[in-house]
Amino acid sequence: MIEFKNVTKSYPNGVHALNRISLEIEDGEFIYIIGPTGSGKSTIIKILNGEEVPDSGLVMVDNVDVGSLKHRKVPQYRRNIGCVFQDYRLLPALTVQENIAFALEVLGLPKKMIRKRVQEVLELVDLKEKARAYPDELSGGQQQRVTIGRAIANRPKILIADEPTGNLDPEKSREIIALLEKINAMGTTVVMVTHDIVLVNEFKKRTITLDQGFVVKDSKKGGYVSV
Amino acid sequence: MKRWLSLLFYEFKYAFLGIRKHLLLTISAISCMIVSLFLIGLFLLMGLHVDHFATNVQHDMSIHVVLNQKIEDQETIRQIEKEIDSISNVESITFSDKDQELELMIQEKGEAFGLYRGEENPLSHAFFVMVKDSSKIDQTANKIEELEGVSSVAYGGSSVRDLIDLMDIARKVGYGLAVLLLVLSLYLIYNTIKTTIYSRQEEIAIMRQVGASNAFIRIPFEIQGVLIGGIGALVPCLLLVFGYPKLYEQMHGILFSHLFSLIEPAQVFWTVGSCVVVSGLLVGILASLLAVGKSLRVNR
Ligand SMILES: Nc1ncnc2c1ncn2[C@@H]1O[C@H](COP(=O)(O)OP(=O)(O)OP(=O)(O)O)[C@@H](O)[C@H]1O
Ligand SMILES: [Mg+2]
Repeated sequence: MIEFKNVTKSYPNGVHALNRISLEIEDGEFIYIIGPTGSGKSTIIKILNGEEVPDSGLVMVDNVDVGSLKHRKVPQYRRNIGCVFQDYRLLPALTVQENIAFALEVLGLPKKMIRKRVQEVLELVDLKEKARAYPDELSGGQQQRVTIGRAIANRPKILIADEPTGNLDPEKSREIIALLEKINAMGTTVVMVTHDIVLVNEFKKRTITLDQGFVVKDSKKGGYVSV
Repeated sequence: MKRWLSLLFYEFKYAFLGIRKHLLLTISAISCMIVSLFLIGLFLLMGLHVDHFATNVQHDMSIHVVLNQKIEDQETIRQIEKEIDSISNVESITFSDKDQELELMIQEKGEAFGLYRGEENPLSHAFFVMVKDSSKIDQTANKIEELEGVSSVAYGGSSVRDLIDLMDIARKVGYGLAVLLLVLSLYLIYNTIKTTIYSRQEEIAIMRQVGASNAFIRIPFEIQGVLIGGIGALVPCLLLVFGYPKLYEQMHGILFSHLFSLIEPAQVFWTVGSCVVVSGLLVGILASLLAVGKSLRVNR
């Protein structure tokens, strides 16, 4: 369960990115966050990720007060949060399977367990035949699937994604949504930031609309309606 | 337990990857470390010897007092003995008649002097005076020399002590030099690790993203520092520990004379070895702590 209570965030340059945001996201939900550029979507993701700290208000994720986490405690918290970005952030020197294994190695999991889990994940993201390829040998959609695979390798309860389809054509974007739906069906909460109105209308889900740091619409039904 | 082991395995893996990626930097840091620790070991060895020589010389502090050749009668000799004995720094006094003196000379200079044995003996009677405080030996010798009937005095210490003083200065200069080099190696290790961290920014960010603990991210860099320090210490340690006994054998255990007997290798083994290794490791740890410091904390 994710809960934002009156969350306000401004950056050192004085920009008010979020203004008294309140939200509740239940376990197992799949929600979109949409809104014009600069409306604070990425800021919400960064706060959920523990990268940014709200100025005031409370952010609770599975009973963890994310805003008051010490630097030292952030990694532990992140083991429950998978994160996907628009730019894939894969390690270029590692193959697909090594990139996914990396996320488990740094947690100190035993080799055997890692090998097994990497196979499962490769199957889930449908990249078995690309296991030994390097990131620059893959298409954008394939790279994004690797990133998603890496994000869920440790079975986080929540997957957050900041414009995961931002660099992809409509066909590849659909593939990504389908993959996220599959992951959601396995019980993972998915929070996805997007610009893509076509996608939001095609795969209808709860949609939160931001504008200038305010929540202007929270539609359970989904779909984009101009406000 | 299992988890702990596999964590350690990855820590070492990343440490070695870091070393391999910046091999040239690592080698320069190690070389500097080797040179400075070798010098430190060398000067430490020298320092131990300076102390050792100084003690040897102190044990050998006696004044040889030669009387005027004319003095033959027991009465005058006893008189002079009494006068010397009354000087406060004098510990003990032993008479050495001219026949004994000749034997000493033959021992020192060779059997050729044997032809002076008997009536031909040109030497004088003499005393050996032991002093209490060897640092005041020159004053005591001067006082004795001024006495009536004393022809000359000689004591072994002075030139030897000058030499020891010189060695002591050399040792201090050497330590200074070695410490400077050690600071340079500290900087080189620091720089190597900083560069490694910098080149791995991306990887570190991803590690944090997927939940690697701060310690997990830090430890490979610390291992890297300790390894550089350790290897840098091992080489000079082996050189000294195996080289010194060779030198000792070659010199038959002495430097110039019996006054400068070398310290037995077994006695310096641990002192020099542990000093070199401990300073190597300390410098390695310190450099990595400084380098890692806050640089891994810039991002949450
Ligand atoms: N690190 C930062 N420092 C200063 N200002 C920032 C920073 N990050 C974001 N902002 C500002 O905060 C506001 C909200 O930014 P945010 O990135 O959350 O918007 P967004 O909705 O994700 O926009 P986009 O759709 O363009 O990605 C913007 O005005 C932006 O300029
Ligand atoms: Mg954004």
